[in-house]
Amino acid sequence: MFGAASSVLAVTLLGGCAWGPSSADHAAADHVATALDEAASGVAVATVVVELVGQGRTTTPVADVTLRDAIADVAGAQRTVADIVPTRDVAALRADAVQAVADALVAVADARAWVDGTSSDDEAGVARALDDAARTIDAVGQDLGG
Amino acid sequence: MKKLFAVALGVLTAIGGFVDIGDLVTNAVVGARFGMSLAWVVVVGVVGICLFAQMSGRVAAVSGRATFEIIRERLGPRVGGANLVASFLVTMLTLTAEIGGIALALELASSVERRLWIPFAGLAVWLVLWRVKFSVLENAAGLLGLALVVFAVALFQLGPDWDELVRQVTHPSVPPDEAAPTYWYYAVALFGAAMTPYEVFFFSSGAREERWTVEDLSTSRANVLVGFPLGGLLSLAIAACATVVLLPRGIEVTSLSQITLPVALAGGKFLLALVILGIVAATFGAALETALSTGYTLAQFFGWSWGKYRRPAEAARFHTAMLVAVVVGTLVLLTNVDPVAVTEYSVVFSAIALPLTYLPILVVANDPEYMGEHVNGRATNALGLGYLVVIVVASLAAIPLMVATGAGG
Repeated sequence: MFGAASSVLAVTLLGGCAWGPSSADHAAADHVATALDEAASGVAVATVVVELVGQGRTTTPVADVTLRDAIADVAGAQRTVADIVPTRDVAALRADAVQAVADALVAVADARAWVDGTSSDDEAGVARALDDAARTIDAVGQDLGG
Repeated sequence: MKKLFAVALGVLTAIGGFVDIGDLVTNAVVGARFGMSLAWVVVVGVVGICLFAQMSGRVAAVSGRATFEIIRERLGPRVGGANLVASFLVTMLTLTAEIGGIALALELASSVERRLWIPFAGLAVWLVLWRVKFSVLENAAGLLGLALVVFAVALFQLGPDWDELVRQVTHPSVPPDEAAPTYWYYAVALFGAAMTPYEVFFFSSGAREERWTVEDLSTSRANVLVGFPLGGLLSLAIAACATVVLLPRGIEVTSLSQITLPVALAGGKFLLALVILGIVAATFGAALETALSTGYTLAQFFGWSWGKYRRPAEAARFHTAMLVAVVVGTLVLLTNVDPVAVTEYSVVFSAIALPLTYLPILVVANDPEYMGEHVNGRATNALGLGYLVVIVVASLAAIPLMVATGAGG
């Protein structure tokens, strides 16, 4: 009885060692991908808000709060991606992801400044920065997936 | 003519009062992630709430007893007490979410931080509960909540691919990038949002507040059978707006502000103003109903004097219970907990608690001692039993699915 239990324990532990690294790769990559999706969502929200403000279809308070929420989402993604301890295989991609999400955060914060009238940027510049941020996140996501 | 007016008013308030913060958030989250592939759950939930709300209204009108008086009588103090604790905690969680929803909507309208609105929202809820007559608070909130019809208007203005929406509704499937447990977790959440237990506490206690008799049964049936399904259509419109605007852009719904984006895109500032008014009315109305439900459940279980028709001095413990519930909900929100997260948990815990409310109603609706000739017919019983199975399955599956998916991940 005791012998069988020991065998099960040994197999479980050794199995865990064998399963460990590749599973850690997957887990890190999954976490980075999830954080990138969150950041991309925040950037997409900001893009819609800038479009709405440009067309005069929303009010400044609503646009401001929506962008504040988008900033919270992208900042959450930034913390998630920075928190991940990557394996060597994923380290370079994680660094790209950190940079992409940081750039996205700047773009969304700049969009809020534009909406609140405290930025010298014009609508096209703000929209372009958001577009670039979205494309960069997408590219890192593609690398991660491939 | 007077009766027709009563039916029309009841139907309108049932439509406007159907959607609360749970329906708003859950339908938008689901629409943005799964499209319309979970619309069938809304249909199942609406049929269920119609079935049990009209049953609890009939029980209250015929037997003169509200839901928790029945639970105490039928289950005894011990089992009934456990039921009370679970139901009360779920209603408290829902009340907290609704007060948070008011603050979020006011934040959206003003850009003033939600934490500054929370005490104001709590105070306003309590003042209305204290000063305003039952019929006025019920009808005013319900009628203003009708402003949420703008979700349906917005959907038409967005000009979606109707064939694709109908295909998603009629051929539900798990989207390729989502896991099956996540799909089922949100199915349970949506079911909990549509069949929230407080709606039954409020409906049966409201029947007593308004002194319904057997003669009022046809009016009550019309309110439920017409008003709730139309309210369900509003829920589907919210999900469809999210499906059309948020899903293709990869927007994940994490806040109330995102839910209003499709409306602004479709109708600009005018519809935006209406939708914010509708959200304030819907959450405010639901906060009143849930706060009343906390007082109702406690007072009915412990045999206290209760009812809005009684002055606070004549039902002191009932009014104190509501006040304490509103204060506790407000204090919880002031800890900076996210109201949207509270809402997401409240709908799932509602699903978990559903059998506690619905089983006693079904049992009493079949009891000739209480109901006389108004016991359930065969068809109602068959449907009720079928729903009881669905409710128990959803309740049992909720926690394992919550753990397996990390609360919907």
